[in-house]
Amino acid sequence: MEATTNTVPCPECEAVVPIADDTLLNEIIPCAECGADLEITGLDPLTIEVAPEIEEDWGE
Amino acid sequence: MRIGVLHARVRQEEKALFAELDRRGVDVEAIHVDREVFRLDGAIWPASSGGESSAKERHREGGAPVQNARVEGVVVGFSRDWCRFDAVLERCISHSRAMAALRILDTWGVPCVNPWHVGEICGDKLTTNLALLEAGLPVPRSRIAFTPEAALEAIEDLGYPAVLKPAVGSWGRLIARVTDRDSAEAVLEHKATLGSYHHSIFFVQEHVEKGGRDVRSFVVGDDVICAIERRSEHWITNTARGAVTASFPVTDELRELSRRAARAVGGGVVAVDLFDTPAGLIVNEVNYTMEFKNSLEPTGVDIPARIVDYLLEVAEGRELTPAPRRAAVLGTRQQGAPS
Repeated sequence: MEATTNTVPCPECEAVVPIADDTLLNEIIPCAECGADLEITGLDPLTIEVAPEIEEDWGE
Repeated sequence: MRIGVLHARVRQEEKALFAELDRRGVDVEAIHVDREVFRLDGAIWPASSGGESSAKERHREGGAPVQNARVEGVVVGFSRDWCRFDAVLERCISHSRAMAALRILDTWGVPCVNPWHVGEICGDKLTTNLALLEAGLPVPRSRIAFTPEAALEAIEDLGYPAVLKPAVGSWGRLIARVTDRDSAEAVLEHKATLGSYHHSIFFVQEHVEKGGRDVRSFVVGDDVICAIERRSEHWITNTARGAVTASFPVTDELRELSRRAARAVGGGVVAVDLFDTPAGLIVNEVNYTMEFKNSLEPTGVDIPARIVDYLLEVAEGRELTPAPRRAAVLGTRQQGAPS
């Protein structure tokens, strides 16, 4: 289990989202409550936004 | 040594790659492609600094860019000092952004994994198919048509069921299996009416009976490091669509075909998708920014470590990424030096 010291409110449903200490900038974190994909947009201070929708040319 | 990682979303793959680079003590800069501005006219290398060496080599030799000068030379952007990177690992999630960025970095002589020409071939199913055919590899029978009427003719020529897929696309999106003339006409009408312009290039392929699974091999340089099978109840066996992965043995046949497919698209770090048919393996596609999170556990192979091994070899100049079109690109740029 990864260490979790921070939490942020989900911008979609306001649920409490735990953020692991080793989280990286631009990492995608799913909200366990509403299922939205959230993107870490800042680490200090910790900021989070709903991740952009998948575009047509995305993927391998 | 300094490595740039060009990315957008940091997925499990990018996180594993960053962790591996960190473990090796490599100086890494994470560059979010969406926030980057490439200054195409940022600087001009004087022609006198060396006629045939790359911009990067000239940079290493101590040459300085001449800002906004009207001299004959090679254009080099310096909004970010890209030439300081010994190599750039491309991990963008958007194909079009990856291709634009790689095109620029290729022109500037920055070694990339993978280089622009590999992405150009792999990112378009038509171009991939031509490269694989040119290399004599077994591929599904495919047709290209430009109108719904011609596409219908192509489908009926291949026979039902047939597969319609966008030439540029991934994760199994917008792929349609048409089983009869009615469904073919419906899909073609929808594509012609609702699709953006590149959907009017109809890529039609025979439907290969693959027994509910396909095979993906991972090629790093000339090594086939592991392979998986992707199994699904659905005819589209993509993990993004819920397929389940398991390890697949790297047989002599698989190794040989995978190597040849990788070489056909220009080498580097690629994932080769194949169909395992009663007549043998058939190469379907080659991916140039491979996802691998679902392949680590079943194969037991440390794929990010192998990618980083290769990346560092490229950065140290021990592994040369082929760039057959670079001379032509530089030639064009030299003739078209901006005012």
